[in-house]
Amino acid sequence: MSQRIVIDPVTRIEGHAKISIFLDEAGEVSDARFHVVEFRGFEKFCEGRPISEMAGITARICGICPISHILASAKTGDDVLTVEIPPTAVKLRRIMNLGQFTQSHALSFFHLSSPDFLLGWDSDPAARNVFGLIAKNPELARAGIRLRQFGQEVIELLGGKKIHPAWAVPGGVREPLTKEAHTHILDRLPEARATAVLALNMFKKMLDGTREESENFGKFRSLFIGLVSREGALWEHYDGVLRVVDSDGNILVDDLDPRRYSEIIGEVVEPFSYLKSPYYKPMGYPQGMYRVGPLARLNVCTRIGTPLADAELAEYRQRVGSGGIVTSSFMYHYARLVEIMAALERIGMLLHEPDILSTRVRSGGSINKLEGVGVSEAPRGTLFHHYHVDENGLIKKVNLIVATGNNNIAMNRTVKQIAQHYIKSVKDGQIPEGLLNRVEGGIRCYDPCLSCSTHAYGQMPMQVSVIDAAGNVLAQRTRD
Amino acid sequence: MTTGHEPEAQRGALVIGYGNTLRGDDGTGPFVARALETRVPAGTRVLDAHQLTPEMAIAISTAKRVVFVDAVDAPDESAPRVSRLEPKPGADPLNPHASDPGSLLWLARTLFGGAPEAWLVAIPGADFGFGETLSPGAARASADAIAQIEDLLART
Repeated sequence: MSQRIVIDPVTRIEGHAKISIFLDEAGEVSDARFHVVEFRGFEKFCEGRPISEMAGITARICGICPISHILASAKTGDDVLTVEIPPTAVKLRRIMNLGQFTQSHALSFFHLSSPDFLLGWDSDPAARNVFGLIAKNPELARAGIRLRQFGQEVIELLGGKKIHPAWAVPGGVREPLTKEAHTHILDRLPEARATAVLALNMFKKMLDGTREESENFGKFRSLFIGLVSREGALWEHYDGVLRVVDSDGNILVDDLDPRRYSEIIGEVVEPFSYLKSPYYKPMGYPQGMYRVGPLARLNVCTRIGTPLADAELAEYRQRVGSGGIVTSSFMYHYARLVEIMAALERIGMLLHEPDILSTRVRSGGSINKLEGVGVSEAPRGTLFHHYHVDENGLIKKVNLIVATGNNNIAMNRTVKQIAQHYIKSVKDGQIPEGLLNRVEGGIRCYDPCLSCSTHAYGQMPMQVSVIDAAGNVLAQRTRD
Repeated sequence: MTTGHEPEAQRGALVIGYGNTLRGDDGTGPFVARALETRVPAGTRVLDAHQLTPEMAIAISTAKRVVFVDAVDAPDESAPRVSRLEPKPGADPLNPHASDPGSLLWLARTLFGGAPEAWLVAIPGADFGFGETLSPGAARASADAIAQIEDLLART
């Protein structure tokens, strides 16, 4: 007998970012919702699979940041096996993650966001794209491609391929670093650093011209969560402890073992989105809104621990955070560039470690715990993998809190703030193109990995609806 | 198999087989690339890729000749389509989901100073569902494509 499965709501539009803007009785924007329309189901269909397969399966969640899932999954496996992986394996995993930070941040800044910065929010969408970017600043476009190539090469040289390499495994990594790859990466580092400097200088020059975006693209108080190093609370991307700070810089949680994440993070499912809404438990939902990712990582750390990146961090804090916490999501872009510099310097440091070419890269082990947690920083923020397994290592239950999900409440808040600022009236039933561009730009600050559809370049497939207090759709605009 | 990080000054031919190896016949491009790995003339680079990515423009710009190998949804066809390509700014070449060979050639010429002669070998497929094997028809067409690509690479 056949079954009929109904997925509700049926109004969701596959492949589009769907946004609803609600007006009150006075016609003012009262709320906005950013609907995530994809349903992936990884947490469910991983059940029954061997834990050894989880890195390979969860890597398929994303083609941009598969390394994040591979590493978080491998760390979860380490926890289940209860093994301490060889020191060289830790360093190699770190290098791969830093390579991913470089390529992912380069993609976000140079390819996705630069057209907005260089061509303007009100420019013709037909020209506000990569072709416009190349015409306006070919040097930047060329440097961005080469920087992303560098990050991809780091991943490929370690993992054997650029996308979805099944290299990190519970207990370590499959292959050591070769001398040839070591030399190649070192040789290319100076050019990569020069590109980071180029982009930082460009962004700093245009800061004065982006005051309106800085003030309205997600500038609000919130908490910030991220990993920091166990000693000194330095910028961290792979291991360490969780720290929570507020917009005044107060440390609410410190030195928290990431395995205890569920003590501070809860998740709510909203009926309008497939993306869960994590929140800081002690404050409840939605007051416990927090942000993760580059902005948060630079807010929670004391410093980065490498000279060039620390100098950039100090300048960043002074320029856009009055010396302290940076609260505008527009500054995710700036933070990304500081992190590129941090990643490149860290790669260089790690490659000079005396044991970096060691072939002892994997520890053996068997199922020693029936539950494991692996936490790392993905380019977009803190990533949590949490598995329950049976005695044979088969998955019984999975919880994934992905980087973009952590920012869900903040993304909704950002869309609302932009709508409140840029929609003064829709009485004529028209939604201006400029609003679409800015909503898109506001979401893009977070570089969300909702689906590949949101990685569309230049313009994002999008449907925006404006709904009055009685529930009538006053205006709707769809852009494919 | 080369990985794309070899010296950029190399002037041999370049073969790029691309597609999703988890979606049946969409994997013909990588399948053909792997088969060619040990058969191509010395100095030829072979890339096996999930998608076309912008950084490929760097390798393309320094190649003597480029052959793109992709699948095409054409269940009623049996022979590979071989066509000459020209640089063309159509699809967004920075978007791996939208990029196409013509745009990538355009990117190579515009930003990296070279766009060599190029061909697209499109292999007809019939089954693009989940799976890691080729349909019988796509497997036969892939064998034909390998022979045709060897001919292209042998041209002086």
